[in-house]
Amino acid sequence: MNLSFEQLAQGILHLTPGSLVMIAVGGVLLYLAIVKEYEPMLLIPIGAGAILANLPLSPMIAEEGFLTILKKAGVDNELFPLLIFIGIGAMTDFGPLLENPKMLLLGAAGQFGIFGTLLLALLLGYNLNEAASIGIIGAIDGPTAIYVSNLLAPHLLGPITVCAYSYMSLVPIIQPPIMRLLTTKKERTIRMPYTQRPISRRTRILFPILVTVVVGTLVPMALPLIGTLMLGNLLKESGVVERLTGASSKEIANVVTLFLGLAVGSTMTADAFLKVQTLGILVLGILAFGLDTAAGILFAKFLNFLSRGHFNPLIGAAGISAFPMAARVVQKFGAEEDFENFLLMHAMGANASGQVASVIAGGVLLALMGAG
Amino acid sequence: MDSLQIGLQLTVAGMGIVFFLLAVMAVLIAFLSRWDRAPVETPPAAAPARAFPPGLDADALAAITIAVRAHRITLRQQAAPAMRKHQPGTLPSRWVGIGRTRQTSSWRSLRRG
Repeated sequence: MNLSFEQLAQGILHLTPGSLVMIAVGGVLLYLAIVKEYEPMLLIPIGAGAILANLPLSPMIAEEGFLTILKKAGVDNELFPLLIFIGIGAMTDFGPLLENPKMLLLGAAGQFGIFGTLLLALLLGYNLNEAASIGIIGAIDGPTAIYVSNLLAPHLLGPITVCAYSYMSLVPIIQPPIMRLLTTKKERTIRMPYTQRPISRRTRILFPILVTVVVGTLVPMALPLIGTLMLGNLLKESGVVERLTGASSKEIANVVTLFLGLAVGSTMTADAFLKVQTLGILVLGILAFGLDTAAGILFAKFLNFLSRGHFNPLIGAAGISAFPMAARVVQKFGAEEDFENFLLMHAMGANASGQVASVIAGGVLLALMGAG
Repeated sequence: MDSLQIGLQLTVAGMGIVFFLLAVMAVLIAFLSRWDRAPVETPPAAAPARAFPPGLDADALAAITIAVRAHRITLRQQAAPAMRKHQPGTLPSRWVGIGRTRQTSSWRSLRRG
């Protein structure tokens, strides 16, 4: 038997500058996740997936490789994002939204980043499908971004997902300067009284059913997203399937998050990622977050005008899907101006509406693009 | 230029539909909440004022209650069998513990020490 040293050295011989750069990118994602704790649940699997996919002659992205199977099983057919939505629904309390349904309008305003970024991307020369996929970063909702971009521009899935998740953890850094820029000190110190209104169990149960039926009827393309989100919430609010609620929000969500992260990381190969396009996506992604925040605040200023100065415009910044991070940012920022100003519960209502709105906006975008 | 025009149409139509849908949802939720108000919980009736025996006030009664409870605990301790002669954790106590284990553990061979 001849010893094949050449075969042994195949790995080193096939190392390319591109794969080395991508391994470094994977390392940066791991650094951000472990040291900076930026969305570690997703960035560790994505970083690991990127490294595993870019090692020379990686059998994990071969036709029957581990990462290829994961991608085919859950990303190409949109299964994983939808399973995660069931978990998100099971974890979310829509109570603050049910107490104050007007906040849903702030959630709508907070989706302007999607369409504003779409326009900017078109100006930069991306085609319509690519621009819409980049715009969906403005939903500030990882599973929605994956779902939509995989349908419209699957070749951009890697950079869009990395953008969506890594910027989401930067919400406390991105939002405050915009909030300061667009509001006056007087506006920031507006106090809004809050009285908790009891919400009956029946309303809590009817809410997810109602949302699914209405949105599913008016925008069928949004049904997979809103239907799974509301299914998770129905499990939680029904109060009779504790085991299913627990499994959806813990075991299933955790396992699927791991698989989804690895599969997305495996799409970050050098030839797909190292492009000028990717740089554009990184810049546009951060702009999408900024536009969402700005639009939310400006709409809240409009509500403040209508209410003759009784609505704090800072709450508009919470009308995005980063739940409950954006609400916390609003509370902290408001408390810096006036320590006794409690905006948290109002902001939570806007934040929960942002979550529903981002899913609806994703579905509307798909419907208008004729995808699916 | 064409794609930019389509983009603008998408923006107007998209934001319009999102606002419309969420406005419809807001109205429906408001109706739902109004129709299905949670039952208002009536506060529990105030406890009737406690009557004290003649010559006793609240402080004296509290002191007697504490004394009775302390006495009951002392009686229970005295009635319990003495389990050890030494403070737990001290050397003799450990020896006693090991000896008892050996006596009561049938699964352990006495010959092997």
